[in-house]
Amino acid sequence: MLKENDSKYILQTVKNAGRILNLFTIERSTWRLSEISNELDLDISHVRRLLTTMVQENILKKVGKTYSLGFSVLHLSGIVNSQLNIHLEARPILLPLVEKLGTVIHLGVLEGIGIIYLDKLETSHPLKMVSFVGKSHPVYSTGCGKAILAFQKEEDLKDTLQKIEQEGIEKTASRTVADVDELRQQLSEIRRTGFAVTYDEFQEGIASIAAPIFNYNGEVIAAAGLTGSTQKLCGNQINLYISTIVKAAKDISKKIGFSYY
Amino acid sequence: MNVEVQKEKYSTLQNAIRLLNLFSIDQSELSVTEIANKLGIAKSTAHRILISLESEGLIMKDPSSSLYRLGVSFLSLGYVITKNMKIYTHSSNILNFLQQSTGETACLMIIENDYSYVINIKESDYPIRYSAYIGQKTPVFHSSTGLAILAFQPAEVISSIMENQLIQIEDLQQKVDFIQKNGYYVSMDEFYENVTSIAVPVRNGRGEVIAALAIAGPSERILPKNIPNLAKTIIAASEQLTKTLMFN
Repeated sequence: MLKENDSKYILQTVKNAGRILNLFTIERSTWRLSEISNELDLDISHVRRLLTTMVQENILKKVGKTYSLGFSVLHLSGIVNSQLNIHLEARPILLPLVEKLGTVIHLGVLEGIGIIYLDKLETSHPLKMVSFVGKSHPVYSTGCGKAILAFQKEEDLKDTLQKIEQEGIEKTASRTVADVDELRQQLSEIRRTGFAVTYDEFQEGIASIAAPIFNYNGEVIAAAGLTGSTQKLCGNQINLYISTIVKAAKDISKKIGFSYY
Repeated sequence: MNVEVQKEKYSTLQNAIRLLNLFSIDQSELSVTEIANKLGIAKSTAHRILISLESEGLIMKDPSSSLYRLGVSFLSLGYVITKNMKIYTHSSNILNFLQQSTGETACLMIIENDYSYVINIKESDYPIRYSAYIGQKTPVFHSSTGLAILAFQPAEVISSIMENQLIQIEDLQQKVDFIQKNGYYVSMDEFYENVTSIAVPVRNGRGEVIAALAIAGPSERILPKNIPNLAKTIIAASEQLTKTLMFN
């Protein structure tokens, strides 16, 4: 995680190239020079120079006037994917629960102040929840996010909360946390109980119940969370949902080397 | 050559990209010192590039070991690429079919800028199997799929790639002729010891070769006497994929 005094050593050229790269998403996978320059509020000739290098190095691909991600990026993602074994370990434990409980299960990791889903397991039911593997969701309003934050080391947590404060909390539903103080209180409760329940916080009518996953060092590295309608998840079966996901998260942690005593 | 001139060869951004490309499956974690040495840059510069990449989620630092690795952001970027490729979406069923019917690992490759890339793969169920990952890249001339695609590219494309990679392949013309005549390429222990692979070009709706389908496995399982039949199966799968691409 970046320390505050590191920021003055940041090389703007490299950071801006990274910002360009992160513009490419499922929803928006092609960009033009002027669009990039507008979106990032960067000088067009500076962006043009960056793009030229990125194309030369296969990081981006240029067809006509449009840029898209190049295959070097796919190669790098393949390396990350094969070194992150957690989702391979988690899948066999989580998959049977999807049909048993009839809910979506996400496996999320923390990236900055966002939660990225490494895996999404869903039922065969035709009504599906829209969420994307690889997309970033706010850490303060998702079950997986809170389950991870609650078990972060104090100095890391401080850092994360500070960043949340700087970027501001986006209220996306009726019960989104108001501020970092409220979030802190919720986190200490989650730390005490071992699981996070959120409802109507990220999206109205949607709830999630999540539990942390620890590595061999005892560091929290991910969280597994059930997601479904608030009505279903927070109804009379809530205790079954909680105990099931807590047990699953413990089983995954054990599988990747964490020992509970 | 003057040392200063050598140092000026790469811009900061180029060095950042070279840094990302240092990581591989076999070397997924690196220290600042290793990175600086490999790139021939000062440790302080390497550190500054690392924190700049880290600020955008492209690099992660393991707090306990102080080693750096590629950031999880690449996962979502990779997903953007495959999700937007028609051929990726439509190849899964066909790869499953090939893996089931041949028992071996089946994969789909494309070539871009001198390299062939694995786009989609279904690994064999055998405990000893050919293993690869989506995004894995190989120099074009170093894979049967690369050759299968190359054989249908204009002569100037082939010679420019050979120039870029500074290689001479003596029997390249024979290989190209074989692929064009038979519609497939077989490598037996050619690129990796004890690995046999059979590759077939895939055409798009306009008849252009855009990818290749292949199966690969240990040479003791993919026997020479079975190759013509296996090739037939892959060719049929390739034609099926072309049809799917045309109608979608």
